[in-house]
Amino acid sequence: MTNQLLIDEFYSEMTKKNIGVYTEEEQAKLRNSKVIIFGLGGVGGMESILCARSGIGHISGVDPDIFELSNTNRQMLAMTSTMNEYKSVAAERHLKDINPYLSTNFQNVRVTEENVFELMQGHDLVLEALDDMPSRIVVHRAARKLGIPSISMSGSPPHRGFVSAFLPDGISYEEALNIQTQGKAISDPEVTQFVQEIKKKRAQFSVSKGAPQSWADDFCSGKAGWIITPIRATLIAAFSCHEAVQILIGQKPLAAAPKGIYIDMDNLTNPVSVINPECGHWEAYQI
Amino acid sequence: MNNLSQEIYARNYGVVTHEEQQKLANAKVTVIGAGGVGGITLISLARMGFGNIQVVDMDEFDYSNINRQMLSGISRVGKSKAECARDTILDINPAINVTVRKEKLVEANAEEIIAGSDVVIDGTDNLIARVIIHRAAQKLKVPSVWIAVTPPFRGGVMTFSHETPAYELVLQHPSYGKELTPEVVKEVSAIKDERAKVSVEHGALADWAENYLNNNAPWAVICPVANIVGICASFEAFKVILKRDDLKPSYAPALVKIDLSQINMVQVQTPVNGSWNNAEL
Repeated sequence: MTNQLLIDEFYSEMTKKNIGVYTEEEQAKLRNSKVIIFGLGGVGGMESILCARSGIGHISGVDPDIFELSNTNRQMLAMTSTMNEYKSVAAERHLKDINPYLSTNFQNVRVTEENVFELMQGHDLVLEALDDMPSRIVVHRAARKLGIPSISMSGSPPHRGFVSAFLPDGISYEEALNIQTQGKAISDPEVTQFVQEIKKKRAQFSVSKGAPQSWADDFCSGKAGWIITPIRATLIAAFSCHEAVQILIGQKPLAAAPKGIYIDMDNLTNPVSVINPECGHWEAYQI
Repeated sequence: MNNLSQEIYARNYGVVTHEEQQKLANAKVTVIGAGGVGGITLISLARMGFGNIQVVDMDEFDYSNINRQMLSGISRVGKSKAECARDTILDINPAINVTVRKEKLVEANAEEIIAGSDVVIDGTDNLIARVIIHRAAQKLKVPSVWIAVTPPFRGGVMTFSHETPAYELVLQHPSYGKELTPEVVKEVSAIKDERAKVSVEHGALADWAENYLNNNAPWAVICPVANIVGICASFEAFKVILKRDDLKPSYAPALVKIDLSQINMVQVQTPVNGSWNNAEL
């Protein structure tokens, strides 16, 4: 009993500055919520931190990678001291320092069509922060099937980002992004081909938004990585976390798909707004 | 820049040129306050490649900081915020030159602290400290970034320079042109109570506002808002240093206005009469 009192006291001290924005009842809902984050890089790593600080009670994380030096410019958990460590291990340790009583389950595995249901089952909400389109499709398909809301994101140079909340009874991820993969297995070569073309088209489209043509050409020929800065990754994570919290406390998300939070920090009059696509869906390469 | 820095910042190229990355490495930024806004701002500046960072904060971490402050953690409760900031910055890139000042910024030391910086970010939560910071910065011709985090989902970011109107005019403070006597300090501090009252119109809980006014509740701040404001503040510093013609900072009275409950979650607005009522921000 003494231990439980200590835990309650800590939780209430840690979250006391949330009260006034959230009610005590809403905060209690967050404490009882379970979220799973797919991808623990620039966006997912920050999402895990923000969710833990917000007082969410259980966080699972899935990422097969280890930290590399070039992650450091944007990934909150990438430090000199965490180089070559599994992202999932570093994230779990960091979150326990935010809330030692947080329930966690972090795994260094890659999400696949085979393991996704086992990983996802039992959670109240999914945060998707993956950098490849096939895995994103796998995650959002599974969430829909299990009746769990899922938050999607994407980011493109120079400072553009997109966040949208998928609800089980709303439009599906592939419909909302106009991806012609519905009903097909991810392993289908046609699907692989299609989604790889999207990323190349996104690179070329980014040029019209201010990214250098030379970079887009190098990216398409495999000579350069996707450009990412801390500004964009962190903003995407913060807006995603806000949508997640709103759903978990029973409020309406602002950007229920096909609506999306569109971020463009190079837009000097309206950098972030909720947009409803005119024709009912987006084009994946434009966001 | 050394090889380690080149690898750390490799993915920035394309958004910034090699020349711009070097400008960031040469720049000196001062961040006053390493809390909810200052913490994420410092991390963001370090990860973007600012080479010289001065942190000013006399406080120590507390459990109630954890809900939003990126530099806070259980292992850091009771430790100096400024020193923890240095540890984190050096763990991001050991080549960054970090200066720590564990002191309160007051009129007597403000100019000495700010002098020599290319940009200063005001991450304090004290309205008097803000007046002192922006007065000193404008006098020294150092651009200064102002921030606000306001319940329930609101925030603001604005950049001042020696070419913008004064901070106290833009935010309609009664202190403009006056000495900071105890009476003036009282008048300025009262603005925060007004902000709490106005917050209720925007959806903050009425009970909270009442408790805040009676000194029975702290200022309410949630994690996404504090961190979005801090990121926007670091972006202002980035724009100040890059000096691109097509990416200008939001110079006062143009305000980066944040409200996560609105369709236009972040927008830049210019006040009709040239100034803002601080109680409404």
